[in-house]
Amino acid sequence: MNASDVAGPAGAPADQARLPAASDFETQFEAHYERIARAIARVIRDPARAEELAVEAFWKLWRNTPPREDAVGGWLYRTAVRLALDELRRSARRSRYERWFAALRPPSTPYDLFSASEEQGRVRAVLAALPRRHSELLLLRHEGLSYAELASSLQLNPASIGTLLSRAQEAFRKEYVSRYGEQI
Amino acid sequence: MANKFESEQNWLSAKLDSLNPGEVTFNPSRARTMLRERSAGPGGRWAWAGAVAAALLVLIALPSPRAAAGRVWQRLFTMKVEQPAVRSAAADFALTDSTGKVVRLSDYRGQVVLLNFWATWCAPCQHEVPWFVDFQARFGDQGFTVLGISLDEEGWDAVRPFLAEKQVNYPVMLASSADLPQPYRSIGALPKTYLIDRDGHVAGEYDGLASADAYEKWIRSMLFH
Repeated sequence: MNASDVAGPAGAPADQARLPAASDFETQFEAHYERIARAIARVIRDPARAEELAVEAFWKLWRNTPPREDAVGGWLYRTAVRLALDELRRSARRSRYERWFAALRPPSTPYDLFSASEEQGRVRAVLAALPRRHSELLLLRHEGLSYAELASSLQLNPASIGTLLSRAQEAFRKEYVSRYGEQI
Repeated sequence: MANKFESEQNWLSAKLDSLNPGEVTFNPSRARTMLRERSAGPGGRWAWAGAVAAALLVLIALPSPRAAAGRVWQRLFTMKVEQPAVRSAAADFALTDSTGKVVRLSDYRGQVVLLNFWATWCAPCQHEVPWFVDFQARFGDQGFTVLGISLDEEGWDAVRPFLAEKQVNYPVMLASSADLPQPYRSIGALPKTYLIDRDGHVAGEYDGLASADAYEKWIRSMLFH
């Protein structure tokens, strides 16, 4: 007999606001994990590290007060992009120090040698250099979040998203052009 | 103007598209394992709690801070307790235990029941089981029983050896969240423990690891008052 066939009144109301239900969490994991990992890998390049950060994003979802069910996707993407950008900035800082100690630079990983195109490096360098809010907006919009989802996940006024995105795009363009001289 | 805007949009899109990781596959099973390890192993919050517990054990051994350390211990580890002023009926279930017998919560009407949701991979759950074995041994003939429901995905292959090792003396059933009625289906973290009175109403809930003393005090208050 399946336990759910047994009729019974609901038990004492449990406070479920603190943690997502295990079944809901699994549903969200199934729905979003690979896309989250891919979104992070877009920013930081290393797929293995992207998986670790994706796990970190889901761990944060598990441990923190969850957003509304319809906002979980946006919350996950925002968390994932922030983790990725923080990693990217750490990596950029590390690279600056490594240039000072070029003789001590560790050997390149296969991903350094074979996966990083010059264009990818430029785009990541610009994303790392921009104010985090700009980079977040651009990456999340590129992941397909709507204006409403952007507003909800970044806790912004929905009416301001268009303007903020325009500013972020302009900031990216200016930074890229000033670094690499490419004209649109 | 519109064309310039569109050109800039396309340009930016192309830049961000260049970051696509290509033919990379990500392994959800590995991610699930990492999540479980974080919840139960080193580096998880329970490892932190264990380190703090070790420090507190030192304090507890000292005569003067013993009582204070004990209170701190209880505050740290009693994650969340609810003792509702108005008790609602506990949701019934019918699950098969490790001997193959179907166990219903309603079979225990008239007894005080400690209903514990746990899993073998959950470190604090493992910590509690010996307490429950002790409670069953001491109070089992006085109108009390422990009922354990394991949420182990690996099934009886994982659970039976654990039951044998710990010499568990109370009924343990196996379920997945989907098999359970609400509110049990929505349990988000383990361990989760309900204390149910003789009328089948929920007298209290613990979220997380509690102390053996707190459980015993609660059980005694329901058995003997």
